[in-house]
This record gives sequence, C-alpha cells and structure tokens, in this order.
Amino acid sequence: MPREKFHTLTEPMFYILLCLRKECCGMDIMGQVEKLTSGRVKVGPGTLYNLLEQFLSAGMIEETKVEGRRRSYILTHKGNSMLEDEFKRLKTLVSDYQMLTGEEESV
Amino acid sequence: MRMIKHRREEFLLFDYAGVEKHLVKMAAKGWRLVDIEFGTWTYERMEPAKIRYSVTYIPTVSAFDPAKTAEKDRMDEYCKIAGWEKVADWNQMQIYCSEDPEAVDIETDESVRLEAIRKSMRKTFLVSNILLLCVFAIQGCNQRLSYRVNPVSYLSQNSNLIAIGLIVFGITVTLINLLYYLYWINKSKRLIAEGGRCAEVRFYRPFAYGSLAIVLGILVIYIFSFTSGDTTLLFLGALAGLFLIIYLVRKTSVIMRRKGVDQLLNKIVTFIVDIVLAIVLVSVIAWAGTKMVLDDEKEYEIFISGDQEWHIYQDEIPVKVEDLIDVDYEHASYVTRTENESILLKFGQYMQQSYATDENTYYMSMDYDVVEVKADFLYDMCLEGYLKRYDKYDDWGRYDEIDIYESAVIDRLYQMQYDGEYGNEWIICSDDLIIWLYADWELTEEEMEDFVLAASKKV
Repeated sequence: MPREKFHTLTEPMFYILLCLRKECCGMDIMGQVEKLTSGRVKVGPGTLYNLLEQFLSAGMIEETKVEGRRRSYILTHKGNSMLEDEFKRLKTLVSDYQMLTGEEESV
Repeated sequence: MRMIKHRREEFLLFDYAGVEKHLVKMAAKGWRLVDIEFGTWTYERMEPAKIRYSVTYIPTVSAFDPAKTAEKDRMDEYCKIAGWEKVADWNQMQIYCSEDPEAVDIETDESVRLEAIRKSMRKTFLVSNILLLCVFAIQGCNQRLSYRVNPVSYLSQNSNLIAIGLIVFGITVTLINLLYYLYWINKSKRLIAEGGRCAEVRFYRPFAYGSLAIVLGILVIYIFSFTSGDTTLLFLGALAGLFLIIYLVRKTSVIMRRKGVDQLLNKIVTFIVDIVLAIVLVSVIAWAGTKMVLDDEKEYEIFISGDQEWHIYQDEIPVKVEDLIDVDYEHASYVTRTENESILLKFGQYMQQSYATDENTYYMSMDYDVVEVKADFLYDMCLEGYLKRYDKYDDWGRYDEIDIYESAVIDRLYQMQYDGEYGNEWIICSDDLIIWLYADWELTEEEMEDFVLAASKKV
C-alpha cells in the first residue's frame, strides 16, 4: 500500500515546517535550517522551492505576504498538527529505543 | 577561432544527472552553456574551468511561458542565495551553475526531486509522447486503409513501404521512451526508499543518435529510390518546407516568450501559425504535384470515328492484341496506366483499345494487370487480393479455378463466373507472375500461354 503523503516527514520537510511556526520568508528558511541544525541539515533551493509548493497545495502552510520576490509563509493548523504528529512519532522512537537499551540521559 | 557552438543534444527531459555531467565536461573543455532554444544548445567559448552544474525542475512552468515568470524568478532567487547562477531552461528543467565547490546542492531531498520530475514529465514528456503515439497510430490506420483499397498497388510503391517502416520505427521508439520512463521512475522510487538517489539514465544518447541515423538513412534510401528528378525535387521541397514550418512555429513561440506574452495567448497564436503554415505547405505540395502530372501528360493523336473522338496513345505495353491473334489494327491506343516497382513487387496496369474506321466493325481490345511478386511470401496474399476484389459487391460474379491441360507456362487459372456463365475475365498464375486479364474475346489456353510468355519477357 502506498504511504500517505507527508505521513512521515523527511528532515528537510521537518525543519522547514519547524521554521514556519513563525511567519518566515522563503528565502530565509535555508539559512535558518542550517543555523538551527548547526550545519547538519542543509536544504537546497530546489528542494525548498518544491517543498513550499507541495506544502501550500496540501494546505499545510499559507502565504502571508508578497513583497517583490519575497514571499512569506506560516504554518496552518493542519501543518501544525502534522508537525506535532511527527514529533510524537519521533518521541515514540526515542522512547522505544530507551526502553530497550536502558539509555535515558545519553540520547 | 570559433567562439559560439550550437549543438543538438539528445537527452531525456528527466535525465538531470546526464545533463549535469555533460555540462561539467563541456566547461572543462572550455565551452559554457548559454542558451537552449529549438532543441539547440548554444555554448560560448571560455577558459576551461571546473564548474558545477545542477538541474532542478519547476513542474508548474511551461515551454510557452514568458522567459521570466514569478515561479522562475523565485527559484532563481533561492538558487542565487545558495550560490547558483541561472544558465538556461528547457521546458520545466532549470539549469544552474556555480564555481563555488562549497555551494549547497540544489536538491537535498531525493524524494522531493523525484516528485518534481514526475509532475513535470506528466505535463510535457508523457503528453508529447502519447500524442506522438496517437499521430503514428492515425498514420498507421491511413496506411492500412490505402492497403485495403488495392494491396498490390500499395505494396508496389517504395514510398508506402518506407512510410510503414517510419511508422513502425516511430511507434517503437516512442514506446521505448515511455516504457523506459516508467522503468526509471520505479527504479528511482526503489533506490530512494533504500536511501539512495534517483536512478541514472543509461544508453539513451547512443540510442537517440542511432535512431536519428536510422531515420536519416531511410530518408536517403527513399530519395535515391525516386526514378524521376521532378519527384525527387518535390520530395526535397516538401521536406524543406516541413523543416521551415517547424522553425517558424518554434521561432514564433520563442519571440512571444521573450516579449513576455501570456502562456495561453502564446499557445493560441503558435497553434494558429502552425495550422496556417501546414495548410500553405499542403496546398503548395498539391499544386506542385498536380502541375507535375499535368506537365507530364503524354502526347496523343486524335482519331475520329463517326461522331466519336478518341485519343490514341502509343505507350510500350507488354502484350498487344496483335501478339495473340492474327490481326493488324491501324488505329489502336496502347496505354500504360500504372507502372510501379518496389523491393517487394512490380505492378503494371495496361490496356489496348482498338478502333475501327467503320462503326459497324468491332475490333478487339483488352485490359490487364501484370504483377511480378519478388517476395515469395506475398504471392498468395496478392492472389487473394485479386480473387476477392469483387467480394464487396453482392450481385457480382466470382472467380472459379479452371482445370487446364498440362501447361509448362500456366500454374493456375481462374475465370470469372456470373450466374453460371463464364465471362472473358481471368486470373492467370505463372511462376512469380499474377496476371489479371479482361478481353473482348474468349482466349484459348494457347493464347493465354502466349500472353504469359510475352508478359514475362517484358515485365
């Protein structure tokens, strides 16, 4: 059975949505993600562009303002709940790992 | 020293990796891509350099969009921030370059890249290939209709055989393209699910150049198969006209793109220009073809018998009435109606009309086809075409096989029968010949043998 779109988020998806919890211009997202992850996760411009388009058409984000080439977006209720779902999923993974390995603080 | 180079590059629209590698190689050789137009890639000379190229896709843009659109501007801006400069675009494909080895890759999520490619291909690659398949299918149906009207006449013309060859080849190549795309998509999905990248496109460029060479080869053979210089000129003119139309239609679209004309208006104007130019080309070809036929009209004498006027032609025909019976007609018209030869068979339609000066005297005439089947496997099919030629008429007669005495010349003989009565219409099979004959008198078997011998010598 095909996996539902955005049921699980890739790292670039996760961090872009995370950045858009507050209104943010598309151009600034690449820098924000890099800063947030200390350079571990990098979002390329093509990936950013196409993900923003996909999030928009899925109703996960909405455009807030357009100033020349600068477009700003913010997470919608749907986007927010998907981000929360992903967070819960990740937390479950972590908790399962901790339960089986007994490692709590080190993770 | 040449500073600009134009090349026709054969890439599948989804082969981003192939394009990237190719452009890196070209830059290393000192050629930087500056533009893509009409499928022609333009390179400018520069100092050989190590330049990175990266390709991405904007599924929502079209080849008919203005050169600058909000979507392209936005993508260009994002890429610029990441250190990439726009080089050119080809439909939804956007090409960027960077001299910074540290610049972040344009695509950092393979599943997103694949999704963008899939959406882009649905809009361009799939639509154009499916349309092409439909065009080939329609052409195939047209050819089948022509074949069914008269299979022998159809197969005796190399132009028809070449048309079939090109249609079959076109369908095969288009299907390979479509199937290869489906294979590539599925393989890429699997690789990405395993944590890898989109699949590489392999062997397409040699396949594309090979296909192009085959089409050119077929066209060259076709051109050399013409026996008349006028026909060669007409064909070359039509081909040049076709290329001119393609150029003008594309140029129209590109000029409108550059002037920032809206996508819908660009599509409408391009479509109208295409239709108008196609009508002009077809009209010019039809006019030139008709003129050629009229200019080529055979000379004839006029013979008047009573109040009737007859045209007397003196074509060389394989068999005359005089070859079969002991007569000497002063006024007879010998006409070659058709004479075609292909690699499969040779087909001629001939007739002799004999006219007496005295209206009450009747001279013998005849009408016949001679088919020389070069490809053995076609013999029965051609014969069947003749035997069934009147099947569509309910009240017409049918051909019956006639017993013949041991003939060294005739293998099989059929005669037309109308309601139990035989008419003077035969189909004679002899070796690789099929002869359909209608005569004003009932030929004896000896006359038929003479006919076959005369026809086989001259065909």
